[in-house]
Amino acid sequence: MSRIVLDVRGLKTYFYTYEGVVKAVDGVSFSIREGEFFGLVGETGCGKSVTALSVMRLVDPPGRIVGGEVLLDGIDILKLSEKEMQGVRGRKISMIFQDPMASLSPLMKIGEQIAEVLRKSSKEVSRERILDLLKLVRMPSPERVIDSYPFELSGGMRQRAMIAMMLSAKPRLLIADEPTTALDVTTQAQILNLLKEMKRELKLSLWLITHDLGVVAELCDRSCVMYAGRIVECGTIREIFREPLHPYTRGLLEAIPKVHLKVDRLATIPGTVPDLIDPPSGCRFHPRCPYASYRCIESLPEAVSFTPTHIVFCHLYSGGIKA
Amino acid sequence: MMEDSILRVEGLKKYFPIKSGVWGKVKGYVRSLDGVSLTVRRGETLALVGESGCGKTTFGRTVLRLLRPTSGKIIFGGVDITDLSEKELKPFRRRMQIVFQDPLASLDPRMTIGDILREPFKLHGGFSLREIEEKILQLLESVGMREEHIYRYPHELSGGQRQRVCILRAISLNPEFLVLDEPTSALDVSVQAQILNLLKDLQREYGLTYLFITHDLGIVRFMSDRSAVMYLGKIVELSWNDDLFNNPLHPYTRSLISAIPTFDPELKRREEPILGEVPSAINIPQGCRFHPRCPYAFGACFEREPLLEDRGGGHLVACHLEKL
Ligand SMILES: Nc1ncnc2c1ncn2[C@@H]1O[C@H](COP(=O)(O)OP(=O)(O)OP(=O)(O)O)[C@@H](O)[C@H]1O
Ligand SMILES: Nc1ncnc2c1ncn2[C@@H]1O[C@H](COP(=O)(O)OP(=O)(O)OP(=O)(O)O)[C@@H](O)[C@H]1O
Ligand code: SF4
Ligand SMILES: [Mg+2]
Ligand SMILES: [Mg+2]
Repeated sequence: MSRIVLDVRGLKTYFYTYEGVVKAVDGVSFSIREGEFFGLVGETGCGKSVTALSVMRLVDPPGRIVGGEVLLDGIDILKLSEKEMQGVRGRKISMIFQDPMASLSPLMKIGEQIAEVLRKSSKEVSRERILDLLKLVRMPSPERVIDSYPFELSGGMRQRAMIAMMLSAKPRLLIADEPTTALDVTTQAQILNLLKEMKRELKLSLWLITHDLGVVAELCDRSCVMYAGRIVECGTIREIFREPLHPYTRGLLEAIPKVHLKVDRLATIPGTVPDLIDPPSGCRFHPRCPYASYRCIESLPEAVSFTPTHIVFCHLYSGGIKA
Repeated sequence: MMEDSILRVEGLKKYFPIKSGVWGKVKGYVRSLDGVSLTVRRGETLALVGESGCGKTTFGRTVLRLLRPTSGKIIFGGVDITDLSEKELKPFRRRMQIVFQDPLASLDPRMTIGDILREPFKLHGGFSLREIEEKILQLLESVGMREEHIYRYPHELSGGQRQRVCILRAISLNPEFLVLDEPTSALDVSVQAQILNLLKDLQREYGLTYLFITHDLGIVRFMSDRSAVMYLGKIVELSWNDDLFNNPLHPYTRSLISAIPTFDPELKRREEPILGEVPSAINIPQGCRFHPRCPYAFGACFEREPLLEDRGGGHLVACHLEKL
């Protein structure tokens, strides 16, 4: 197996608000290997973005990282000074967001913005090199785009420009937070194909964050499912989609209307996501779980591994037996 | 031909003028609907799908006469409502309703849920106060909400509960026809499943007819019987879902279907997705409007606009190709 690039261990990030402490990320562990596409999935508010922002050390007050380690190539970046961290951001880890407009400067031409990233990571800067990057992300008419402002581009082109910018620094890890959510299906398919090509050509390590299980199945090698600030299940794509174990993963997969399967009713998960100020005791999914027993209310389920990759946090499996 | 249609639309166009300068000189038009014809049958769910900006919302709003059509005809329940005045439209208003994508934006933040639900009854009159209170309680219970919600404000509800309120407001006066404009796209999958099931139940219970607007083909498959695929203000294909999904005839429909991620890690996409981007509705390409993105385009596609024709069994397609 290839080397581990990012190893997150027991990460906790809380927000200290007037209403109380929001335990947005509460003991999250996972790792990403070199050349791997890893997907973090879960419904809105479960803590995906806060996990990523914590790894980038970009959590603003009232938020604070209160526990855990984030090892990048073996070094705990939570211990670095802010100055040292600036050398990590954008060079070793880059991040692209759902809305490229939020991270592209509106007043600078695309070419200039890419040049700036290249300069920062002390790479060679030339028009040729920038054009190469735009061609790498299969940008339509790169000669025109290099001299265009972001508002002159379509949503798909902006996301391509973002990816070009982020790749220009040759980061160890690219974090993409909902990179295709704002795009149309056909444009989304184009961006997903592009990322797949990047994987083949550049041996890129990607951490994809999304609420769309279809995108994860399409793009990733391995995935973790998050619920209310914690990870409930991790596995290869095959394990998650073919043999899901956690009742939440199963519920989520069944609740999605599928194109190739006509059903009369959709399976639903009763209730709604919990309040993270006062989350349910024990297993946080227990108020919505059809299999919940007293143990689920009383104690936190430990990790149970069925294969080196397939891990589930659920009392149903505490004997190590699949239900 | 005496099939029971609730809505018939013929050659519907909606152009928005683009104005410039202080004098507001019209320098062009956004051709949001560019000649749409279709029929919605009583009791069915017809899905309307297509990419962002293709005209779905404009279509929904125009057929309900929330927008004034530029030309064409709208026949609702056998009556031509194309040119009716607002006053003449009033009796039709309660028979047709719309639910929007963003529940928070379509609910007045200063009104309680009770006030929001009372409004349609007051607007259309003929109900005593007691009747109204009984009605709204019944409505709330029918979607799994409680009396206490009457006193809450929209921001005090979850996203799913808010969309329930919007749906209740729309069905409160027993309409016949509902336009559902991406009613679940702001919701999580687990909540979406609850709302979609609810919409199916309500349809069965009240014999409602739905025009369901979405860009999610999984939802199309679940909710509807027939579907219309829209591209740049025109219908390019319309058929029964089994036909449409198993045997799509238009190259655009084919790429739409192949562009959706499959949930099966073993299944690979069958076809490369289409290249390029959607052209603007201001400069619609000559000939077939899809030709700049179509991998099969040939001579005729550049010159003539293909007509929407029946290829048998009610499978309509607008494409010059005989077969794919
Ligand atoms: N500045 C903040 N103050 C208080 N709570 C916050 C703050 N930022 C985030 N949270 C809370 O942290 C939790 C996790 O948020 P996060 O943005 O990580 O969710 P997410 O999984 O990325 O959701 P989405 O899919 O909607 O992007 C949420 O409950 C959110 O309300
Ligand atoms: N009031 C308006 N004035 C000018 N142009 C408009 C107006 N309303 C809509 N349009 C244009 O009409 C076209 C169709 O818009 P519409 O909102 O109907 O698309 P849609 O298919 O509903 O897209 P989406 O999936 O993003 O909701 C777009 O090009 C849009 O910019
Ligand atoms: S008519 Fe021609 S250009 Fe248009 S979609 Fe069909 S094949 Fe393509
Ligand atoms: Mg997020
Ligand atoms: Mg719309």
